[in-house]
Amino acid sequence: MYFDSFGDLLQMGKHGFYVWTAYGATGLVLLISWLSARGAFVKTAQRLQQQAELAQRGDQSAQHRGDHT
Amino acid sequence: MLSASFKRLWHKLGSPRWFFALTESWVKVAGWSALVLLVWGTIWGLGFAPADYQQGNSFRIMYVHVPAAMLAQSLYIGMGVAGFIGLVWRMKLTDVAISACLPLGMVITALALFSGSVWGRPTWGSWWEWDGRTVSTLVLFFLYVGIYALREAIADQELRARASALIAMVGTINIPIIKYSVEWWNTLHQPASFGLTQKPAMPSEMWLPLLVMVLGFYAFAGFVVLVRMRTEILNREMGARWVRDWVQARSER
Amino acid sequence: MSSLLRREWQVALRAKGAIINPVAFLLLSTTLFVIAAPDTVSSDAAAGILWTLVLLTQLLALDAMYRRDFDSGVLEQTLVSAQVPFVAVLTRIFMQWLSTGFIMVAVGPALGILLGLPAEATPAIALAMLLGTPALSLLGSIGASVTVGFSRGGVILALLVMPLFLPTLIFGAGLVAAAEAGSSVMPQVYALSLISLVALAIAPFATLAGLKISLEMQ
Repeated sequence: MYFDSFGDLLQMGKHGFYVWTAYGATGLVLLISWLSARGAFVKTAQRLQQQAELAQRGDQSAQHRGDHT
Repeated sequence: MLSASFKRLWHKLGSPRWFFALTESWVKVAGWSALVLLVWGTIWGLGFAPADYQQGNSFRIMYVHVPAAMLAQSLYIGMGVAGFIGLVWRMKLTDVAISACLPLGMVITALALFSGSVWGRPTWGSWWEWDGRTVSTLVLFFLYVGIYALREAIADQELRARASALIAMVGTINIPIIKYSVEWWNTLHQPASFGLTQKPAMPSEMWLPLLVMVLGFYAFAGFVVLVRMRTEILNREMGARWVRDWVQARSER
Repeated sequence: MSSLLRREWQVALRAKGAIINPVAFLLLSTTLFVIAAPDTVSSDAAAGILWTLVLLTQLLALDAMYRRDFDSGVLEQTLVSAQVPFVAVLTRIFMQWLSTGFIMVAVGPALGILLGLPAEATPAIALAMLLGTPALSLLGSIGASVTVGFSRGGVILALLVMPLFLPTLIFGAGLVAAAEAGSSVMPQVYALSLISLVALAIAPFATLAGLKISLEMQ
């Protein structure tokens, strides 16, 4: 480890604010990019699933109606 | 023999259904490698790499700034290449690729500008300097915004695809021209300022973590782009039989 | 080819405002600049200001010209009736240049004098305009071809086209600045010529592709 203590790691020899701001911003951007991409995929899959279920139920009720005629 | 199997792969990549099936495992590989590489690279770069003689610890910002800057450019060139392939081979998936690269590219370029600015303040004294690299990155951001604005303005999918492909290609051709012109401009207007290129060669303890971070960033980009492409494919191919089968298989899992 | 030119010329004559307006805008914006920042006259910034204003004028003229011809149907007619669409596009770009860039070869030096540039620099300004403005017309046409159908296309046009203009701006202003300082202008001459040649190679194809897209959008 380059730094002697955890305090030193945070301080970064008085550049701490800048280093951690840069890393923080990067981490945030990567995190949000990941969540946003994955979220969109899951939402789309769920929406398609719901549509499929609705269609299935629609078929079933149409079948029922067909039986009564 | 090799060319025949390559042709088959090329053909498969052009079909949304096969692309979707093919990339299911790729996404997992990309995601996990990105995680491992980024964590490893960050810990190494922040905690274990030696500090720079002149810059001190602020130079550690390089480990997140340089990969972002590289990725920003690569994603745009990726859009240009996709546009070219799309116009020549009429592959619809290339527009899906462009739509997937665009948001990530914009955000990564903005991040590169931000981290570069934060790096500049303790190192060279100012939040912003107009030099070759800052101007090039700024122009790259405008190139991204241009394509974004263009896509927002065209409602028809086919026409949007063709227009984006055209502008992405022209922009990609422009990138080296801009780099060269701006570097030339910079040598006139700036006294020799020290940058990474002018220092003595970096020792391996310093650039090895950078390599890991660059690989990590690219793996991450691959992951995000593939996920977005798969989402877009589901949206575009909603009515297809294979999509319905996939949805059903997924709900049964 | 000659019938094409003749037709383009007739269209241009009918729209005299297309030539007068850009020049008026250029003079106006220069005046604004000088009033707002009088110290820039005769300063090192003058060459840069000159070129930036020429660029902005070109942007306006591009948008206006293509939009007018698109709305009136002339553009569609030209493409449809042309035997070689590529040549028709090239002719159109040439006419656009004649009404803007070409005029700058004469107006630019006059503007330079207004901005306090030395009289010895005027041939350099004319040369810079001559070598640089074709690239502006060519590359600008690419952006105009794609945005001409948009209702608020002007802003998007600027966004698309400014990065394309940047190298010409750098070397054009550099040429004038070098002439002012008395050093050789040859590097800039080569660069500007090269850029205009590259523009000539890609712009007609790209513009044609863009126009086809825009016409389909109608």
